[in-house]
Amino acid sequence: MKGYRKTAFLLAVIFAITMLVSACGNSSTGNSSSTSGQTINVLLPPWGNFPKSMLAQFKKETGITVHLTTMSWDDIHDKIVTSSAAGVAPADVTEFDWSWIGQFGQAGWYEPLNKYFSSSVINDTKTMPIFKYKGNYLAMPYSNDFRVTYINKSIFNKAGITKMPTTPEELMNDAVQVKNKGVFKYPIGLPLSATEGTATPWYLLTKSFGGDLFDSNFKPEFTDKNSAGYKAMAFIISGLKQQKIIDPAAVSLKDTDVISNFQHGKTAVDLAGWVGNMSLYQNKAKSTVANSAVMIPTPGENGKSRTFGLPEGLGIPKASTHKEAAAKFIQWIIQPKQLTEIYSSLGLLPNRQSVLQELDKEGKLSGGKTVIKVMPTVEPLFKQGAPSWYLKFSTDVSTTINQMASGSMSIDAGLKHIADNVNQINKNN
Amino acid sequence: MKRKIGIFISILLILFWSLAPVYWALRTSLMSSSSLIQKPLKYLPYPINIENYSQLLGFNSSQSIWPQFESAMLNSIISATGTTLIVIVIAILAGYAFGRLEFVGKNIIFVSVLVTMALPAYAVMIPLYKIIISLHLIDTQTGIILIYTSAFAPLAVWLMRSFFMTIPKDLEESAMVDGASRFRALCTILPMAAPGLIAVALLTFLNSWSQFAIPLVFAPTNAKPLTILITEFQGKSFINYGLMTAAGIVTIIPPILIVLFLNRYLISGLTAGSVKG
Amino acid sequence: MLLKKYIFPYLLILPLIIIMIGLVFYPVLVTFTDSFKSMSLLNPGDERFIWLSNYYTLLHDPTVLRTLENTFFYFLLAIVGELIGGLFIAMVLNRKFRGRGLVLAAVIIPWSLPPVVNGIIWKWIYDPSTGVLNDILMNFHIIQSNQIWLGNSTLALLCVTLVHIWKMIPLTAVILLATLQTIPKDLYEAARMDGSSPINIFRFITLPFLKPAIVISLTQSTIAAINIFDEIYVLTGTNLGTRSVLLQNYLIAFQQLNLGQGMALSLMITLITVLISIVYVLWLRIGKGEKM
Repeated sequence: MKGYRKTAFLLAVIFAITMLVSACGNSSTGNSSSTSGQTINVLLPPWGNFPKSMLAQFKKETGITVHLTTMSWDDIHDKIVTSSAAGVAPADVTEFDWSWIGQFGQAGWYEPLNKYFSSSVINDTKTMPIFKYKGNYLAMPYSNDFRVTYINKSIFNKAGITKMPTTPEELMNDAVQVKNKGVFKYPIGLPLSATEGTATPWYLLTKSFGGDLFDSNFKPEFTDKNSAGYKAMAFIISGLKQQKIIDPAAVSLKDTDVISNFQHGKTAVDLAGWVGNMSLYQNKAKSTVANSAVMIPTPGENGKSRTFGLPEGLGIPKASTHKEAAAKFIQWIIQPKQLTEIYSSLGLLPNRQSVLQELDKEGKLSGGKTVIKVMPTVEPLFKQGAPSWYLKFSTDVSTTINQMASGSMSIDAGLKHIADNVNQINKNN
Repeated sequence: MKRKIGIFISILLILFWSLAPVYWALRTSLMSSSSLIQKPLKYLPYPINIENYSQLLGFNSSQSIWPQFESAMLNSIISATGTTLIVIVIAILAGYAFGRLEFVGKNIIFVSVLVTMALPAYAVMIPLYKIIISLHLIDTQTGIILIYTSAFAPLAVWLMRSFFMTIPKDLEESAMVDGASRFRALCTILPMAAPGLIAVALLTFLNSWSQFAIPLVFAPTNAKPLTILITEFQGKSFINYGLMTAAGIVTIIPPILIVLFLNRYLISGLTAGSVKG
Repeated sequence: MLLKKYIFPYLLILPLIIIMIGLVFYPVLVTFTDSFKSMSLLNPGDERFIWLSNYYTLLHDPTVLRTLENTFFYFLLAIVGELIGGLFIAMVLNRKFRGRGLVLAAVIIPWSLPPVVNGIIWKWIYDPSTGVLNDILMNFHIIQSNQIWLGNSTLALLCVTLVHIWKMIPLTAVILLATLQTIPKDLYEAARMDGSSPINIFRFITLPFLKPAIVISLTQSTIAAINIFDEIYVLTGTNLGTRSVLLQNYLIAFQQLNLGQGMALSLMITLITVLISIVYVLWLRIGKGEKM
């Protein structure tokens, strides 16, 4: 009977543990009319891990407790999809990337935020239109991202270049000069692996060459040889194959690898760099290019620089049961004082023009002059808002660029492939 | 003598295969991020840099991530251990029934359980999410343990069944002659299936230990395990390779201890000694 | 008493059945139904039965076919590599030697690593400029210049498979080792007294005993190979040359939010796995006339 008793005991223990744990997991939620005393869940990527002191301050002011969960950025989208598909809120406030607007808007998962913000705040937040879906703002940006170009000045100087490039042709010539003078074998840093970040330089260069990816009906405009999109792709692929100013190893590099290479002085140009990286490149403890990294507006056709915004916002899922408290949190976090603190503690660049100007005035803004100069020119990647099929599109783009770079597809065939896929989607809708 | 050398070389080969990549992780975890991409390549982590470990284990108070790491470690241990215990019990009972007893519908039930092993986790993710929500088990250890159990029990049952089947029938019949119950018979032959039992425990523990997609969706916060926490050691513009590999190295310690503890039951010729009747 | 005898087997499988029905069979039923529907999260209102349309579309999608092809390649290499490697490790560990437990512990390490760490380790091995693989091969003058291991499709496919095999070998090794341990020692002694050669001992004693376990481990290798995902996503992203069918399934369901197609594809993956496993089971039956 010994064996039997052991088994029975084991079963009993397991049963007891099960009951105990499930009892603990079952927390009750009180529903009061006021938001004070409520607890909200906030889901953000690791870089949005707001300091504990800030959250404590928020609780002191409003009585709302914030339970902040971080999750790696790649995984947040999956989490939101799974929860929302099941009709449950992934959290009360979540990360909301600019690229999700078309998809989440069409799926109807997020609460319009128009009523929570005054027009002065909305007008001050230059990247706000990117989060607009059918007249509704579905998220409030908290972290600013637009693309600029970083140049390692001392490498350029070594090759005898003193003037920073203002057009794509100049940039190409400069890079070739750096290469020919034997200073650097592969001066331009770009990711060409089949990962998300690979599409960004192409988007940016398309703007630089003075065009857009689509017309107003989402008809692809990049298959024509004279189009900006085509020229942009030709710039990348011929830079890799003909001029050989891009490392062939880039086909296995991700955007983070490219940043790391520039930061350690292994490339001369970070072509489509995140504007917020200036603080990383200037950090003497982490970067070997602290004194030579300069930020310039991305060179554009006829010297006219263009760029687009990739901000991250905070949104409130419709299924949230604490919408008022969630809205209070967002209202609080985008106040100038909080944005300044977030910038200094986490390095997240604010979206509000007034805050940026204030930071620049105090000399706290890394790459200040360029940031202030470029900020008003920041456009959305899509004038009519990111489409619901954007994620598929960008996967297609990065996968196809990777194929073109590794030689299994020509530029024409690749761009046609991307365009065909979009046309197919347009036809089905 | 020739034979001995052969075995010795084989062991070296096995160790190299299993450990060389892990050594590379250890080396990565002991180097600063700038010396990582320096050339020529350093095969030894010199100068040694223990910053990643002190950050992980909380020796460095300013940037310590020990609280998160500790709770994730505990969560991993609890979910893997809990799953293993439940799966073992289920597998012994069901494995015995499928392996040694006759009953109506046996084959169809057995096959339908086995077939579920082929299901990708994504196939049931969303319906399962609804179920776990309605049971109020989201982000709890219970929820995670139940899901793991449903995922790993089929293999465990299959293994236990095949181990039970290799044990000669007469052993158990002789136990039943003196009027002992079927359950008693099960307990009699259980020690003979010990290596199988240990293998099942080991497989279940390790399977649970390295899960990613399931806890990501079902245990994102309170029950967050190590596999999920580690993916957060990256910023917008950098991936903290040193910290991630350091965490990886610490992560393999509990499974190693479990194996060292269990291996004597797995490989010690227990079967020979247990044939007492 | 008779009643008890009839009910007893069902009591034993009851815990298993409850969990399986609640957490697997029922959700699979939902998935099965949804796979016949037009079901996109992007059009929440539009949900109707379109029967086999999802399956038809998938089977005519060149990307899906390409990923199936890649997956088949992973599967072939993985089952061969894991069976040979796992059997080798199990046979060596089946011998008595000092420190056997430590070697076993070393063997299981690859399997206990979190998937993301596994990816990082190999990234630093394969890296074209600072990877150790290039460095070693250059030092031994096996290659003349740094290779971009994950750049070329075929090479990348092989490199990723190697990572997968490295990670999954412990599973096969543990299953086979445990089974080797249950083979009665006297059988071997008797055979040795008869003067049987080691090869014959393996063929006529070890292999028949091992066969059911080989089938189990082959099935596990197959499931793992057909569901290959993490290694690929971390090392080569969505590269078409290495993209697996499960990764494609993920993109369809979680990125394009086309749940109907996503569910259909995952059921197709299941079906393929089951069909392959049936082949193993048939092999076992032909060999011994025993069930599974």
